[in-house]
Amino acid sequence: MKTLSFIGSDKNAGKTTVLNFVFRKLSEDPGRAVPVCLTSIGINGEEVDTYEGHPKPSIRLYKGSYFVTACEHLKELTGRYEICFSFNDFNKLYILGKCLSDFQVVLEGPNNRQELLRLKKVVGTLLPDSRLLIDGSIDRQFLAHPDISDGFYFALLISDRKEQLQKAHDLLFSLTLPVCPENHRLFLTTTGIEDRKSILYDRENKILYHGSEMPSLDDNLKDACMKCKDSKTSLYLNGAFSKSLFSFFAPFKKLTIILDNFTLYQNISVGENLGPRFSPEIFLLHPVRVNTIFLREDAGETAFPGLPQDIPIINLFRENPHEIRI
Amino acid sequence: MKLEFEQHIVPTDIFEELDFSGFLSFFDLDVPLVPRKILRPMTKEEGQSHFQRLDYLQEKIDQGRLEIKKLINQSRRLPLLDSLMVFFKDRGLEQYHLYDLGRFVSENEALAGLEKNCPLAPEISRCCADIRAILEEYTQKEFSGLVYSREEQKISNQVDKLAHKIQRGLSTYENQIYEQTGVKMIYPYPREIPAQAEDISKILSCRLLRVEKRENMCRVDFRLPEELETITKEKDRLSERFAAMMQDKLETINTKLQPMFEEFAAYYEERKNRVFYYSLLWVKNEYSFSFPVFQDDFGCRLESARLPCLEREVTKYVPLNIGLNRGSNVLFGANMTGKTTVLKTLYFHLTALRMGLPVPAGSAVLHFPEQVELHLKTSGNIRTNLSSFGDELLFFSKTISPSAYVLADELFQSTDPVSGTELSEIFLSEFSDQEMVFFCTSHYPDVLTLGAISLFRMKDPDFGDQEITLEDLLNKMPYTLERISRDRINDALGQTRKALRIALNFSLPESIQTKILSALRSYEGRN
Repeated sequence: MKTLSFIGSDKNAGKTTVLNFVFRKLSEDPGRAVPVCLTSIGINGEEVDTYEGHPKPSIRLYKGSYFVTACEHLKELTGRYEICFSFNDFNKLYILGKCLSDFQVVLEGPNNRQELLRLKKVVGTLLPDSRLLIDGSIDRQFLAHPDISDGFYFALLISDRKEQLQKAHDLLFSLTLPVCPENHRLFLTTTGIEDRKSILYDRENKILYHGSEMPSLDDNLKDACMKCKDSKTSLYLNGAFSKSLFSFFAPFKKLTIILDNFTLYQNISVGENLGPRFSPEIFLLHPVRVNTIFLREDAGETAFPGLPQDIPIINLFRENPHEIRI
Repeated sequence: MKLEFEQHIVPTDIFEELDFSGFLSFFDLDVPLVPRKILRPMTKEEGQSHFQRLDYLQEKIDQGRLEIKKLINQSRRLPLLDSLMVFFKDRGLEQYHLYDLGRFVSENEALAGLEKNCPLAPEISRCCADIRAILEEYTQKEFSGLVYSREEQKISNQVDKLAHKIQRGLSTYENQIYEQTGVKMIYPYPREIPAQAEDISKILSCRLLRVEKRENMCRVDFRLPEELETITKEKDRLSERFAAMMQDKLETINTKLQPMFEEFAAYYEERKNRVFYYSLLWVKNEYSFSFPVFQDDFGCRLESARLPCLEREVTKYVPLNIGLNRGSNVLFGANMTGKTTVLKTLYFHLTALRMGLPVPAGSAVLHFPEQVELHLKTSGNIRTNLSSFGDELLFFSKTISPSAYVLADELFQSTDPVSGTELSEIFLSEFSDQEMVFFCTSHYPDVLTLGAISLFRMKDPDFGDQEITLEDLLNKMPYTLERISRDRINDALGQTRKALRIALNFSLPESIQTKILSALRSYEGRN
């Protein structure tokens, strides 16, 4: 089983449209033998945006495809699906179902790492050669862990609004962060880091501090970093790399920062003016495999600098891609 | 199965020190039907009946008439139905509920097959077979889908056919658009075409498309032909009819199932209890724990009682063997011989039994511990404005119910020795003729001469004349207790000054050590 997650840079970036598109591509493939299963972190597929009231793309499933959703969204679909598994010890009652006909559905899968891992285990056991498509969210950081996702599709909103452009820039920048050197990766993956939000260590891999608090709220972490500001140290972070942390660490010339995954580097607004002033080197522990970036350009044809060269980039509304990377 | 104690039953510091969490994790068996249980102290009647039922099942296991491993494995296959029961009661079961209900009754049938020698609630168990029969009539593929009537199947096929027809119609339509304009109308819509595109005039004039101009961009969407819209409407109409038929079917199923609800709800509760019991039995047998034997006489006898957290930590662990009589029991002995650990071990076992759990002991014979209280010496509490002495008196101000177990460490050591001895004597004689067990440690020699109390002593290591290290001392410590009869009290009291010998094993200042040695020699000279 392969798990493919969908993330949008902002609201209305076209994430659900991209999910629908990839799902259609997989379903239309005449030679396909792989079953496709869809789920979502949080609620997706409602016809109207709950907050803003505008119409949203619905999620239409095809006969023979699979889905995991909270049962409360199935009341109108009686008789149109079969149940393959029932997750009745999760926070909500979810089922893995198989469509007996085409229908529209609201997808709402589990919203935490443990339940999502169990969901994957069940889908992987019952549908070993399947593709699991997860309608994700940038603020669910566990989604980027290699235990969860094998690849990503990004929906990038490019508009003439400054904030939206900045979010798109941030997301793209996080994708370009290099993977940490092998010695760091080895150290961090063998030191029992699962429950730690931060680990500060020196050149000999001696741990100087480790914390389980959110890094941005961890004053002891900041104290520990200040004490060794003038020596060469590395800091692993597994919590949001917030604006305040970004400002705090900006002058640390001898510090190397290793983020657990790309989702931690968000909403920092590292614009061109701020970027060069940030002294530490930043790496990722878990590299991100981006299959395709899908653009949604709200402002006509926009020149958007910084698009990566080695990742396919498609404007779904303007181009007709024959192939997509799965 | 996550077990928890009801709040405030065990003080937080004791709960952590004795690692009750670790002990409760023995019972964490991943049994979906009993995912969590909060244990509350039982009354004597509840406790006796609880352990009686467990003993009965254990007897069947011992006789080879129940196989606990098979039972627990099959129990794990039963789904939890708690959230479904309210829908069952109100005739609101949905398709996904029927799947869980079906799985429950079929897996339960397999479990009942393993319990033939000890059937569960035979007077009401019939409801499961009746429910299964109804579900098998209306569902298929092991309850995963609904069975369609001919009419339902016909409509479902018509909906599918119309869906295909729409799909084919759209493909033809897309081809026509492509031929006329060169635009591929593939998902998502509307397509965005630059206003300066080569074929824009063809697009603008195409009757099959709806075009919305926006600055330098045109948004192009389908203008569906009437025929396709008619088919779509017909498909929607049939889909609605199909949905209504499915609702009718669900109503029929609910109406047929509802009369069985009361019996099933009672059976389901019995089943959950039985699975809980299997979990307790599995842990008991797997880890060689014990169920208690209750006696009418007041008192308690534990054999090979272990404290799991200590057993894990120390290299030399000596299980506790102790028999306490009704009334007052006093334990004395030198420091570091394990007196407080004896109290804590007792408290641990009595608390676990009071909650209905098997205990890590060879055996436990006792009167039911309806109330268990433990007082450990404290340094007082500035927040409650209580000294250690005040704290101890507050402890004894609690209501002590008949048949309680009250355990106190270093009784009234919190005040001056004269008053402490007098208070100890008052409390010991008060408790000595009550139908309870009072057990305390004490360093006051005078209390040992009181009548009507049972005396115990922690065995000391034999120091000999050689100087030994602290490590040797700890290794030599027997950590066992012995009962002292009245006629041996003087001998026992004679073995004092051990605290001075033990003190010599710590790196105290040299001048202090010299003075301790001098005191010891002077004592030995007198004896």
